[in-house]
Amino acid sequence: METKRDVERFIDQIKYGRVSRREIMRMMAAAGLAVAVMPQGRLAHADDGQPTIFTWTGYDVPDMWKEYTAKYNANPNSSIWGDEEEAESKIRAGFHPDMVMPCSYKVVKWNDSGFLKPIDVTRLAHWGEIIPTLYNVPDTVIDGKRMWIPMWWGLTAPTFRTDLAPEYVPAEKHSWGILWDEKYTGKLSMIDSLIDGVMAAAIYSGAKDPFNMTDDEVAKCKELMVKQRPLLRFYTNDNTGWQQALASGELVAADSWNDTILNLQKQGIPSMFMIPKEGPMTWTCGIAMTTWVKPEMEDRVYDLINAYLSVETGVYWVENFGMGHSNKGVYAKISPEELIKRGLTPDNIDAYIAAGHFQATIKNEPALQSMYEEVKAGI
Amino acid sequence: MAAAFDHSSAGTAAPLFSARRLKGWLLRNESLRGYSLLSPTLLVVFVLMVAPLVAIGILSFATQNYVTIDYGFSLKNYGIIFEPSAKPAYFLGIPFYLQKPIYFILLFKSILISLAATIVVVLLAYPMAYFLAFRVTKHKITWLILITVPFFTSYLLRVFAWKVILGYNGVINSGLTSLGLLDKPLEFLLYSQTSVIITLAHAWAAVAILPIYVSLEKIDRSLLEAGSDLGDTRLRRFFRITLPLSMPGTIAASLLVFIPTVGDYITPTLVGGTNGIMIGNVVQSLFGKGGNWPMGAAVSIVAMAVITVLVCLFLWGVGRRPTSWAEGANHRGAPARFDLIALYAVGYLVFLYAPVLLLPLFSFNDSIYVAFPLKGFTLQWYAQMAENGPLQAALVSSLKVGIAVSVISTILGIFAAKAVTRYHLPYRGPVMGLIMLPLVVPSIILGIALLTLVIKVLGIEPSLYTIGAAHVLICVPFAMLVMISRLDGFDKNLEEVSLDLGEGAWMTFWRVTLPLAVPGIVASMLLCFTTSFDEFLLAFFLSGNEATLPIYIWGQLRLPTQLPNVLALSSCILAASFVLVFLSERLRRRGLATP
Repeated sequence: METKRDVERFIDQIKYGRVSRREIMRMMAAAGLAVAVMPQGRLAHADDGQPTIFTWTGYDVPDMWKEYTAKYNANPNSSIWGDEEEAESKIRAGFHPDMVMPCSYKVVKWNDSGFLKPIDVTRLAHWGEIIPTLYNVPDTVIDGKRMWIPMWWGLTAPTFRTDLAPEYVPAEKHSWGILWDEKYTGKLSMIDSLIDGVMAAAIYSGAKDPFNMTDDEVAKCKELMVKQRPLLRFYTNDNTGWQQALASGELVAADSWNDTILNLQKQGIPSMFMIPKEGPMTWTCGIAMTTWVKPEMEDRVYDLINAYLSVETGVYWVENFGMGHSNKGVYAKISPEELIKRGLTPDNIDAYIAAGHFQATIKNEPALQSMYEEVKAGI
Repeated sequence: MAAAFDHSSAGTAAPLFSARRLKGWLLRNESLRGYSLLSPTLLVVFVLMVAPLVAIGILSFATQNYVTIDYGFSLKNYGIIFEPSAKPAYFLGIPFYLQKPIYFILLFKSILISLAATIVVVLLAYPMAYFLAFRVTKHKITWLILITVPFFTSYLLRVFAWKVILGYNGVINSGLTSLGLLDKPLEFLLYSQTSVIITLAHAWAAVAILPIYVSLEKIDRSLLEAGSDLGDTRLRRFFRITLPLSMPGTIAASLLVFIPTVGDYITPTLVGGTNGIMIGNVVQSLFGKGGNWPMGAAVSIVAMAVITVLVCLFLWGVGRRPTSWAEGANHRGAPARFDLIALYAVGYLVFLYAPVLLLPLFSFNDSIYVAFPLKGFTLQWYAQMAENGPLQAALVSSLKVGIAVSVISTILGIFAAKAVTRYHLPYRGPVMGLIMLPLVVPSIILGIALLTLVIKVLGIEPSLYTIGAAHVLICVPFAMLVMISRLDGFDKNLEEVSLDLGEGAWMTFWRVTLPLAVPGIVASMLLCFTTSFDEFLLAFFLSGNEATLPIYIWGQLRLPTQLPNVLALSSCILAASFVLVFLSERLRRRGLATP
């Protein structure tokens, strides 16, 4: 195909259907070969000079590490997980990121599995700005060494429709019991996990330390869950799912996190996030460094962790995800109405966090999980 | 070649063992040539399938204590699964005398649900395949593509769309309520076993239709004419001629649907409600939160064994390996008639497209929630999608993997099919069973086993290549089945004629076998591409830094604000597919020499 005439002739042949099958085949093979040997365009290849983050879906956006980009003019690599168990499987099978973002109740297990390395807080510029209660999240300082930095927090408690369950509106009626209320059979839901689901039942059953139950307490908890199963519409991990169900009236009450109320109220649905009298659950999630961080990468990893802890990231976080950020400077920058809309209180954040049951490492996880599977299967 | 037949030593007694005779024997031995044709496929299956399975087997004999795995040989896990107990647990009135009945009860339940789903899928798909094979005269390939287009949107989104249709405020409920036929929405439509079966029936439709279609397509129409001439009514003719001859395809379709759905845990999780737990959920939990990998391995092996036994019983019951007596594909198309089948085909297409067309509908909706009533028209999601870098990168990755996988799998499938149908292979049964093995293994097991193999044994970082390899592994059985159905029936004499007339083996393949096999090849490529493009679980385990589209969508489904972007993308994919179909039709009609 060299001259303009060749090209015109070629087009004519196609147009008038005079190209034979063999010629078409030949042309396609040539095109295929050309594409195959074409030099690769600008693809996002893993950059070896940058640390790798392994985190929840949605938390790997550039808005979160603006300080890092400002300093190094590059983005870190990132990989995502749907929940911590998937992450564990992947790490155990050999995927070695530099930075992971588990929640506090996983730190002991991940440390015992050999994933984590202690963090030197003197290398974190924003460490002094953290909300005081969060310095003492249980199970995160092991043998005197800090293994994990708190970064965000929230509450787990029921969210319910005020127009469909008006009797629960007054504060003294707030209780986990709404999720066992037979009046709303088929219109309740629970979060499908040990930490947010089974532990809620454990709190409601009155266990002294829900995360460290005796066998009797476990039996009582199981009884409660068996009683609850026919009342539920579903067990779910899908944030979107329970929000939509609450919005449409399919659910009257759902075991949920405090960001649910933000989205519902944006859509104008009459609803409320309750603080139950038995105590909500407070969870914190944060950042940990892995044992596979190479010495030359350490500085970058510390800068990255620092970037996540900054006020700028915190404001982005609270505004977009509706969950709390651990930097206390964030709350001065957001108006009280916006905070209340997210189920966060503008005044004493510290006391607010401390009032709930702090989620801790669950003792005897496999046995509890096995019990949970049996309850869900209806045995 | 001539040297091998050198008879210069004919005068003297030829030595019993000589290089020349050995070489001649090697070149002529049918089994050897057959197996060498089969070898690329076997190699792929062996490396990617057998080695990980062996690893799982070894793992099942280990025990786990908190985070450490003790590889000392122990039957503890199997002991727990099979340990009897005096007090039975009941499921559907059947007593299970086991200490830990959950495993067998869930296995039993999963098999029942899968059976129900398979029967529904195949029953619904058969008339559609019949319509395609017998009533459609022009543009058959276009129809085939139209059938598969809905499946180019992500599986997760289709399940989501079903939630919208069956949901509390969904299409069916709002429609019936506004017509005044209902005063309260029907709750059993969603989060029940019914919804699991409906969703599965939709999700596996393409997989069911294609093998049945391929099988029906090659039935010699003159046999049907003979039947009518000899006095059969149309109904009798169907039951006595068409149905038995389409058995290979129907059996293939049933197996292709039944086996994967037993291990599926995503569908019951999303639409099954509190009653939706299946054996896959338990396995996933044992590998995850339950923290007992050896136990998970043991449960998987028991489940795979039970499924294999059931499948063997089924195949033995219906009369073994697909053979067909029909020769040649000689059809004069029946004149297009308006009858029940055509009506059914239209209804089936509506069933296929309805959930999928909801996606574009909501991509224009001015709300982050996918629920009725609609809020307003907006193009903002498309604008956001155009700027969404990760989304586009994921799409490109999926396309790359999908195309590569479909081409490679089809090629391997063709070789394997040719070897199986044209050569006499000893141990053909076990070898075919081996190649089909990837379908019997629950995806999650396969994923973990492959990940271990790739990283610990081979030392490669997970990437798009590893995802591609895993997808080839699961697509090759599909490709092989479809190609066997196609190659099995048509006249071997045609190839012999070509060889006699002087063509070499390769050119015979290229000019005779391949053109006749084209519908099968197209079907196989479509099936493989769809499978790969849509596959989530294996991709999730084997992905490195680059996500494929299903992985990306899974992540976004949990973030309500990002969901409409995903809907916008699916709508664009649908639109692009339609454009492609339209273009290919115009190309065909432009007077190209008939392929």
